[in-house]
Amino acid sequence: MKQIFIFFSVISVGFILSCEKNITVSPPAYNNKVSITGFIEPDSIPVVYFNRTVPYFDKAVKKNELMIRNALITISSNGSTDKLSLDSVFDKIDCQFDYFYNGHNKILANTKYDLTIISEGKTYIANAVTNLFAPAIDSVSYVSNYNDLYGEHEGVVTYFKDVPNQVNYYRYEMIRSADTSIMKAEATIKRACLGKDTVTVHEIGRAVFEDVGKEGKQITIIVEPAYSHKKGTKGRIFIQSIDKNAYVFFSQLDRQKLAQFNPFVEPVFLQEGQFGNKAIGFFAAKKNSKPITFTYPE
Amino acid sequence: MQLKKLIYLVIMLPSLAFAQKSTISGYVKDAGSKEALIGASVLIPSLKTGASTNQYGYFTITVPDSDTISIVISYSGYQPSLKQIMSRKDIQLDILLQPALNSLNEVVVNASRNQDNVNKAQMGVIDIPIKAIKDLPVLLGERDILKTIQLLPGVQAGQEGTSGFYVRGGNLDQNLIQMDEATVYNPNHLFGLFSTFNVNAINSVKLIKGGFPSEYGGRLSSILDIKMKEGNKTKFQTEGGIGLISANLTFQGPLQKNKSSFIISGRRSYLDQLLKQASKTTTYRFYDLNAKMNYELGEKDHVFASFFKGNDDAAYTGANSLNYGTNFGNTTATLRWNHLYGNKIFSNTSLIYNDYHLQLGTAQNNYYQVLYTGIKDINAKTDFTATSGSDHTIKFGANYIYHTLYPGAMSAKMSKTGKKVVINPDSLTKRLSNEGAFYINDDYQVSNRFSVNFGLRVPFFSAGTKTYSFIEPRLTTRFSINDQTSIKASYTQMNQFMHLVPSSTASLPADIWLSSSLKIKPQTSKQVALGLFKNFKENEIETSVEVYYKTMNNQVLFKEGTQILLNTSLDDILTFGKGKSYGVEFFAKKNFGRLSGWASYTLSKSTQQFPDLNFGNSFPASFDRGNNLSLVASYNLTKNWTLSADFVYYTGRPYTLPAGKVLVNGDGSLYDNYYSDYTSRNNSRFSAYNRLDFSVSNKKQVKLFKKFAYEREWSFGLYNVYNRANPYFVYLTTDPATKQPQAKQVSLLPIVPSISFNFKF
Repeated sequence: MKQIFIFFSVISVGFILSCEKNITVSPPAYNNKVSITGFIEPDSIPVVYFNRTVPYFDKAVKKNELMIRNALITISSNGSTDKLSLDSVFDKIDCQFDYFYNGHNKILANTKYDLTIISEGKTYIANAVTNLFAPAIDSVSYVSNYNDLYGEHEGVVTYFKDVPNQVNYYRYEMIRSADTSIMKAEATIKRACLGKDTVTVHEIGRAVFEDVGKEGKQITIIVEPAYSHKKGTKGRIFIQSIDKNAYVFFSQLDRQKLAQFNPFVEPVFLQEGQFGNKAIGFFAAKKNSKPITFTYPE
Repeated sequence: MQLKKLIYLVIMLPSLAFAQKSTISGYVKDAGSKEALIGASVLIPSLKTGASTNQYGYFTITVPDSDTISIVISYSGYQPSLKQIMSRKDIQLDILLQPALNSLNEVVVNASRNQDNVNKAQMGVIDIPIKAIKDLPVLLGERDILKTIQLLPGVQAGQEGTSGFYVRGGNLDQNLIQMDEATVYNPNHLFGLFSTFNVNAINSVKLIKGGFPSEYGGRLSSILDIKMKEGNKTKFQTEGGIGLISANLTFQGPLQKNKSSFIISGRRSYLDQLLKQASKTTTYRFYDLNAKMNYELGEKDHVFASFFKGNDDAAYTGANSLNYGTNFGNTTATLRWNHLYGNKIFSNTSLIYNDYHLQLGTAQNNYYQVLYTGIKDINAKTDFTATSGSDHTIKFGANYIYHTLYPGAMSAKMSKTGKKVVINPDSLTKRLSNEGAFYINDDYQVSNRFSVNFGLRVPFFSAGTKTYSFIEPRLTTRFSINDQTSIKASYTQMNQFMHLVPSSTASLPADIWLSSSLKIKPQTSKQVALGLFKNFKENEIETSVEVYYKTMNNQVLFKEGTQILLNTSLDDILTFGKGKSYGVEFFAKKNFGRLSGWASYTLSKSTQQFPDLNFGNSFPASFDRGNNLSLVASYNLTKNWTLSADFVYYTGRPYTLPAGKVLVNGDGSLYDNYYSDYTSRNNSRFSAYNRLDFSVSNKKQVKLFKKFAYEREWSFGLYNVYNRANPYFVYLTTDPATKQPQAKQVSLLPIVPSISFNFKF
C-alpha cells in the first residue's frame, strides 16, 4: 500500500508540471496603416522612413516587403519645397537594404517645416519646428553593474546640463565602428553580410528622458550598450534634444517593449499622434549635442 | 437596559395589534451530535406558513391561536419529523432530526421538502449541501468547497485548476468570503489549486449572488457564507482522510454533555517530504487548522469561540521559465454570543479578528514580480432578528471594522546574479481605515401569494480625511403562481471599500489589496434580476431561470505599461472605469433519489470601460466567458458504491493580442526590428475550456480486528478524464532567425488520477 501511495503522489506531482506548445491563433482583424518616421535637424538632409504596417502574424518581415514605393513626399518651408527621393543603404548587420526617402536641401534652424506625403490616394501631413537647443555633455563614465527597470546591466553613464528655461526631451546616441566580433545585447547577430568589414553602428537609447524636476541642472543617464564591446573600443556619444512628438512616440515604444518582455505588465497601446488614426509615427525636430569621445574600460 | 426595552417595544409594536397569536420558536439540531442544522425547513402545512432555521439553527414562527397544529421539520439528508402541538401560548421547541439511514431507502415526506427556492422572497441564493461537496470528483483527492461553487449558475471559474471564482461579471475581490463571520481574504492553498477550507470542519455553505438582504454588504458581487461545525455535544468522534498530497484529522466531542462541545480539525500536505528526494528546487507545503468550542449558558444564551489558521509556503521552478515562490496565510478568530430576548428576538454579537498576509515572488521570461499584501481587521458586529406578527421577520444591526493594510509591490528584470528581492513588511506604509454599516431589513409575507423582502443598509468608510457614506436600498419580491411556481424580482445597490487590483496579463494570482482613499473611490454596483422558479415532482427537482443586469462603477485596474517599483505610489498607477454585466442563468437540480446533481448553464457578457484604456472604448472583462455549462451527477450504485462525475464547458477567456506590426528603421536593434500595433484590448480568446472528471467511492461500516467498528471510504478519481490540454496562458515570442511571431500556449493540468481514504468513528 505504501508503494502505491508514493507512486500516485509522485505521478500527480509530475502532472502538475505544465506543458507548452505552439498554437495557431486567430489573428484579430487589422486594417493596414502606414508608419512614418522622420527627423529633421539643422544642417542635415531630411530623411523620412515610409512603410506599411501589416497584420501581426503576417509573413512579410523584410524591409523591401514593407517599404512603400512611389510615394510623393515633400518637406516645405517659407515657400520652398524639397521633394524627397527614394534611396537605400545596405545594412550589413541586418543583412538587408534599408529604404528611406532622402531630401536634397539642408534643414535650417528656427524654421517651421511641413511634411506632406501622398500615397495611394491618401495624404498625410505633419509639421515640426527646428528651434531646439542641444545640451552640453559634461562627462562620461562607465559602470559595470547597474540595476534599473531593465535589470542588472553594464552602462555608459553620461552627465550633461539641461537647457534652462524650457521643457526639454533627450535621447542618448553612440556612434562607433563595429566588426565581426560584435553581438547584440540580447542575441547573436547574423554576420554573413558583415564579412571581415567593419561597419558604423548607431547605438540609440531606447529610453527617452524629460527634464521634469531637473530644470537647468545636471542630468545623469545610464544606458546599456546595444552591442557587445571590447576593452578599448571607442565611440562618440551624443545627447539628442528631441521635440515632444518624438518623445511621446519613443516613450510609448519603450514602455510597450518593456511590457511585452514583462508578463506582469499591461500591454501598451500606441495612442494617436500627429497623423491621427491614419498613420503611426512622427515627424519631429532634433538637435544633437557636441559629441564626447568615450573608451570602454573593459 | 432602557435601550433594550425601547428596541423591544418598537419591534413588537405591530404584533400587539394581533394579540391572539402565539410564537413557536426553537432550534433544529442533529439528533446524534446536537449540531445546529442551518437552513432546516419548519413548515405548518395547514396554515401554508413556515420558516427556515437561521445560521445558528434557530427559528421562530408566529401563528394564530388554535387547539392543535402540525409542524413538519425537514432537512436534506435527514428523516423529516412531524410534531403536533397546542398553540395557545408561546412555545419553545428543540427539534432533533435523525440522519437518513441511506439514500437508497430514503423515506421522504414530499410535502415537507424544503421549497424555499420557490416560496421565499430571495433570489440568487444557493445552499450547497456538504454531501454534494464530498461526493464530487476532485483534483488530487482534495474535496473543495470553492471548486463546487464554480459549478453553479452565474459563477465563472478562474484560471485552470484554481479555486478563484467570478460572480455575475464581478472581479475576484467582489466576493466576500466569510468563515464564521470572519473575512477570508485569500481562500486558496498552493497556486490556488485547492481552497483553504477543510470540508470535515464545515457545517454549511451558502452563496448569495443577487437580491442581497441588507444584513450583507461590503462587496459587489457575492457573499460566500461558510459556517464551521460546532462539535458533537453527545459523544466523541474522530474522522480523517489521507489523500495524495495531504492528510486531515478531525476530533470533536462534548466538553459538558448536551451543553458544550468542541471541534478541532487539521490538514497538512506532505508533498514537501516526498519531494525532498526528487527535487531541490520545488517545495510544496500547506496546512490549515480549524478549532471551535461552544457553551450553552442557559436557554437564552449561547457563546461560541472559533479559530482558523491556514498557511502556505511554496517554491516552484517549472517549465516555461516560470518560477514561483510564495508564503501566505489567513488567521481568523471569532467570539460570538447568541441571546434570546423573550422568544421573539434573536441576537448575535460578534468580535472578530483576522490577519492575512501574502508574500509572492514570481519570475517569468527573466522578469520578476514581488509583492506583499497584508491586512489586519478588527471587527465588531451585532445583529437582531425579530418576528413581529405572523408576517414580518425584521432584522437590524450594525458593524464596525478597523482595517490596517500593508500593500507593496515591484516588478523588473532579473539581475544577472539571480539575487532575489524580498519586501520587508515593516518598511511598508500602513493604510489605516474605518468601515461600518447600519442596516434594517423586513421579510414581509403580504399574503400567501405575495411577499416582499426589503431593507436599507447605510455603510460608511473613512481613511485619513476622506469619508464616504451611502444608502443602499435592497428589494426582493416574490409572487407565487401556484404552490410549485413563483416569479421573483430584485433590486440591490452595493458598495465596496476594499479593492484587489488585478494585473490581467499576469499568469499567476499577483494581486494587491488596497483600501479606498481620496484617489481610490469605493466601487459601486446596481443590480436588477428577474427569475422564474418552479419545482417538479413534489420538490424533487428544482428549476430556475434568472436574468440579471448589473452595472459597476469605480472599477480598478493598473494603467497600461505600469512598471511597479517599491517606491511607487500605488494610488498613482491605477486607473478607474466602469463595468457592465448581464446574462441569463438556467439551473435544474435534483435533490433526492439515487441520482442527484444539477445542470447549470449561463449565457452572459461582461464588459469594462476605462477612459485611459483601449482608447476609451468598451472591452470584454478579462474574466468574461460567454457560455458556461456545468453538469454534476452523483449516482448511488449500491448501498456502498457511489459514482460521481462532472463536466464543464466554458468559452475561453479573453486576452490581448497585437493586431499589427510596424517596422523600425535605422535603430531597429532596440525593438527587435518591430513594434506592435494594438487595436483593442482582450481582442482574442483562449480556446474553449472543457473537462470531464469522474470518481467512484466505496463507503462501508467495517470492523478492525473484528472488534473496533468504524466507517471507511475509498475514493478513486480521475481529473480531466480525456486529458484535454486546456489553456493556462498564452504568450508571444519572435523567432530570432525568421523574425516571425509565434504564439505559445501553456497548459497546466492533464489527466490526474487520485486516490483517497477516509475514516470516521
